[in-house]
Amino acid sequence: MKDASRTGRFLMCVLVAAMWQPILGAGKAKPIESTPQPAKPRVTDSQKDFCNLVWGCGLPVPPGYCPDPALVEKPKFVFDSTRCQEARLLNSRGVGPGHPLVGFNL
Amino acid sequence: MEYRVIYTIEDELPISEERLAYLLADLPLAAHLISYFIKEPYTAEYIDAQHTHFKGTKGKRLRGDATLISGSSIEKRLFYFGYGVATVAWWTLKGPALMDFTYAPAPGKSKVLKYKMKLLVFPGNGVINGIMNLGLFKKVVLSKVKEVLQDITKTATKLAGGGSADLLKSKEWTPEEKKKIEEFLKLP
Repeated sequence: MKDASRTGRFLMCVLVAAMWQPILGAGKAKPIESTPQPAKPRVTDSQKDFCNLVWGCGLPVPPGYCPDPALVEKPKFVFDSTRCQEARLLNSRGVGPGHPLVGFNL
Repeated sequence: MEYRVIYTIEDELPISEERLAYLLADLPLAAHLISYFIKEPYTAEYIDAQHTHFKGTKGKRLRGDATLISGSSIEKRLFYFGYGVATVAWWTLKGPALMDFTYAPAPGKSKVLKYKMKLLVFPGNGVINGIMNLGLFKKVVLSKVKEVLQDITKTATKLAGGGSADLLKSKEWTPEEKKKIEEFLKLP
């Protein structure tokens, strides 16, 4: 009987301790956080290709399509007049980077 | 965008400007005509109400869908952008492609058009780019594209040469298609 009572008290202590732990934890002072940095925009491979093409060929960038150029990896090749020929030609015919079918889909 | 391969074909088509414009404006009819006369299974189906976006096949080796993004028969220049799958020799290639098709009456020739077809494809990596730029590979691709144009040519010739008589009696064609063919034959 005495043993049972001791065991009961022990279990009660464990339970109370367990209950207290989160409360104590919650009461701990939070470390001072540094000023939150703006999250880097996620740039997909196709978006990277698209943005490099419109920048490289001097085409109008549809608003909201491309992040800051400094955040986009530059291509290993140059967008020269040959590489830009079709894009510029289509752009001059009204089929620009924001075209609903041919343009890049966000 | 890093890799690009251009295939260019320049040749002549023995068809009048009006008849080519008619076929370009009704690709399912053109595909049916080629299948009928050449016995090569071509299909084409519009997937939009404006008839600018279509999907098509040529046998089991070529399939894709494309959209007329700029140009017209009036301008004699058409730009199609699409996605295709082609089996060429041992390779099955798939990816986006841009086609720039221009034509004009051949000087000094009646009912003959000279055309230039420029096909621009974008291989996904350096290995495929290398393969697609190989002289031998380019030759095979060009022959496949030419095959399509030759099939159009042969069809036009057979139609012009009285091949439509049997066609108009055939049950393979709907009354609507027959009406279109009669319209087509009235063109110069």
